[in-house]
Amino acid sequence: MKKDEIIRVLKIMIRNKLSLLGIIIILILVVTAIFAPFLAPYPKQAEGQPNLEEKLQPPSSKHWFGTDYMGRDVLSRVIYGARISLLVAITVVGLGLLIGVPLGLLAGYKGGAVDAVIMRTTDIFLSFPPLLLALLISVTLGRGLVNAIIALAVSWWPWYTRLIRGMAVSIKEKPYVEVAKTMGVSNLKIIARHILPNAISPVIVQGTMDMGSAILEASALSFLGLGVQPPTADWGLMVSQGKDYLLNYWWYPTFPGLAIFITVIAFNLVGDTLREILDPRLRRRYL
Amino acid sequence: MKELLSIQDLHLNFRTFWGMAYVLDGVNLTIYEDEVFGLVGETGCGKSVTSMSILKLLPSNAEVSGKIIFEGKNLLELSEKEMKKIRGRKISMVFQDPMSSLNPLFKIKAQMSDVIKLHHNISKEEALKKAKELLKAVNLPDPDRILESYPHQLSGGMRQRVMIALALSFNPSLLIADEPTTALDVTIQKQILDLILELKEQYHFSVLLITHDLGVVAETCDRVGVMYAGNMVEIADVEELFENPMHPYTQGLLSAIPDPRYKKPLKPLRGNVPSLLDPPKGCRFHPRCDFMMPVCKNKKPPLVEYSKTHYVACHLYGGNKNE
Amino acid sequence: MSELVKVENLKKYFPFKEGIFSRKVRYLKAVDGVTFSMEKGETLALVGETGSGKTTTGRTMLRLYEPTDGKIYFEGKDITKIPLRKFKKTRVQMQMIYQDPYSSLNPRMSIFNIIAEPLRELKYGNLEEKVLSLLESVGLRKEHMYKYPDEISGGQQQRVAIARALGVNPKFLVLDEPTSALDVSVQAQILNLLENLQKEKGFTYLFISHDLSVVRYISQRVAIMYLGKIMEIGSVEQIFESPQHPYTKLLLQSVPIPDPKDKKKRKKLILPGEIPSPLNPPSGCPFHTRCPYAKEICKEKEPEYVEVERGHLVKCHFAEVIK
Repeated sequence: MKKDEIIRVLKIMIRNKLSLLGIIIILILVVTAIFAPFLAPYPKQAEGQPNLEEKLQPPSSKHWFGTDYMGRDVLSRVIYGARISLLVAITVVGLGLLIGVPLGLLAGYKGGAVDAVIMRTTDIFLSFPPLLLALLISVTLGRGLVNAIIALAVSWWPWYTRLIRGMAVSIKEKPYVEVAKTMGVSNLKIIARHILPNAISPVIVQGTMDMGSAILEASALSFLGLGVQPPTADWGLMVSQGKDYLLNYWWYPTFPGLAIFITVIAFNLVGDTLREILDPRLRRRYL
Repeated sequence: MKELLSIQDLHLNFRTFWGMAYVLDGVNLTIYEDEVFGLVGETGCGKSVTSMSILKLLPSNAEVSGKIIFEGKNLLELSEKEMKKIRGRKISMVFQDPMSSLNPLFKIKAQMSDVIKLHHNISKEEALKKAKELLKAVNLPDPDRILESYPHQLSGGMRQRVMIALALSFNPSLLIADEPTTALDVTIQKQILDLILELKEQYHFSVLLITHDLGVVAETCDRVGVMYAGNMVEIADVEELFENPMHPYTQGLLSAIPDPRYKKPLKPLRGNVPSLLDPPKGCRFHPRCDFMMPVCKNKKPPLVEYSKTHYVACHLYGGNKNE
Repeated sequence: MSELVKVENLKKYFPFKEGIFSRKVRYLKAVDGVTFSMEKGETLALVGETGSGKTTTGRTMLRLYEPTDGKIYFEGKDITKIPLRKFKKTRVQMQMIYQDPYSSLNPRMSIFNIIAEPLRELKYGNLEEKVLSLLESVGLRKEHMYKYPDEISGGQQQRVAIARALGVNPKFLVLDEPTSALDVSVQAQILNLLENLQKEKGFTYLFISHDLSVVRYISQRVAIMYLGKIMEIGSVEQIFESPQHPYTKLLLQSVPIPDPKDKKKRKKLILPGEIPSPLNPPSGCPFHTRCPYAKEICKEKEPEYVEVERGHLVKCHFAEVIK
């Protein structure tokens, strides 16, 4: 994208109240993740150190979000959880794009047998309900954060492949691609210079929204005991552990749950606005 | 001649991704009863949005001001409910691409009878009968077959005839035809234009023909308005406009178009149509004008009456010639 | 003068299936036996209505479509025989300019990169200098070099497309309606540019168009196509001043003339009906369904070409009878 176009897109996103809200939340999340050790009131507890004297305390001036069953400060653990969530979001979507985009470009541009093989493979992946597939892979690979990320990425890439293949198919019919071919430009250069830059916008949008979903699904895996392992602070894991305490100690699962909820919404708000701006048909509407 | 529609000082701005676009900058025009008025100009001159303003079919990011007087009422002040009584009934419209105004999923029969039934309050059978009459009126052979067809089964020319038939169903007093033949081949264009003129004689409506093609204007219109970058620069009787174009833009246009009768040298206009996001100050044509004077950069020339049949907005002609 | 391009009995059929479940494959005969030759430095216009096969002919000549049958000679060599891998060198000398300039430029590349891309393939030394000189030769300036296609006007986009083609030193250019997406004032600029470049570099143009006024201006010879066949071919004077084929005559009658006084002088002759579907072409002479002079023989037998004057060929049974 051109520099001034990026600036223009950012300007519009900041002027749009909902996407501004999303951007602010994501920024807060990033800052929180980076400076977690300085922001968390009890960094030791966030890393897992028990504090059994203060078990299951309600929110107070000392512990804003209360404490959990081991007496650890929930606020500190939610702050540390942002690190895991962002890591998951970026790696899952990143790996998904890394696998999915080149395959999609190849399928769309080459067509024929290459296309058939790649697309039938994605069909197989997509025939599973997404979380179920991640679950299966996760079970096979074993517990742990890295395995959960791999599992999610593997169940994720076919969506990008499909999306970008569709774009590639329509773009390769454009006269400018035809001209490049007649002028002797190689296929690889055509894909890199002509197809990819023109096909990528919807993938960027999808990727942004998927960051939220990736966090949600990683949380689900953690919730089921497959992802992050205790005592690491992870939102999904905290909800999972806290669910048994919901009736008497509501703060324990509620605050990490809220963190997941707000983060997912923030990514969706940004993604939605991005889609409207990057879609040339909708673009005219914007001031 | 009686006035049918009069547009007075129409301004129109669009809020866009790139900023505010100043699309119409004080447009004035009058259409009389029983005439064909041609509105010519290049892309972005505002000829189409002028017609959209008449019908109040503008997108939500538009800001309009000015007056559009039709039958004594200012259309811009009417409510959506009141506009519905005018749109399609007193003022009908035919578009460039008839396919976009027909629903591809329904037969012509259903689409025509629905519209006719709704507006005339008659039974389905009567509506169908009326539809058949209308199709005959637009010279479509075998109206029964047409009624049973889906839009995609008809050719572009036939679809445009169906749209004209629909536009006629309420005896409108004004038919707005927005580039009605641009998507069609020349032979079909000729058929459709001749049909519109024929129907106009028969049904006595006025036509506002929007086009970029000066040939089409010469062959069909009685009077012409030339638009440039949101301004009406010249209005004249068609023969006068072609014989004695006064505005430098009109002169430029006429010397830039090729003539099918002989090879004449083409004198292109310099430069390009300005961006409406940042239009030139003063006369919007001044950066491309060969006769530019200092005053053109600062002051917008008003549209003044040069003679009873000729109006022009240019500082070269100072004002009324009688002064 | 010497011959640069020659097409012999060129055919391009597109296979299609009757329905989703049908096994029967039928052929759309887009180009059905076209023969003509072009001298170095001349402009031949290929004229026809939608579905006449004019664009397919142009594209097939560049082997953007593989011909179904027939021969294409370029500088005496039959290029249909060259395997695609080895075709690169010849292909670069035959370039195409498209109707919609915007879609022929990658919107994500700067003008510099667009023009430089083919030059990089040719291993040019000083790219910056070369790109600038190409831009200047099409009337653009240095300031345009780092803009993007959507930041310049349609006419400028077409200039960029032409500059890009110039970079590879082609000999033969297929111009596929290069001005029909442009405004009239800009159209004249591009037509003049194309003419000047031809004079300077001796280009040979195949000018595909439906606009007879433009054809009259730009071309030396004209071929009139109808349903995949050339109905009449001759010099521009022969075609415009003494057309022999009934289709050519009626087509010329349909062209709007930018002169209101002319319409009173002319007799009204409308070409009836519409071009039949190329999926289902009429037997015998393809034009007989619309021809006012059609006789029995026209339905049964396809007419041969008759040379009515030197270089003036007409495909009509009654070419010499109808006056």
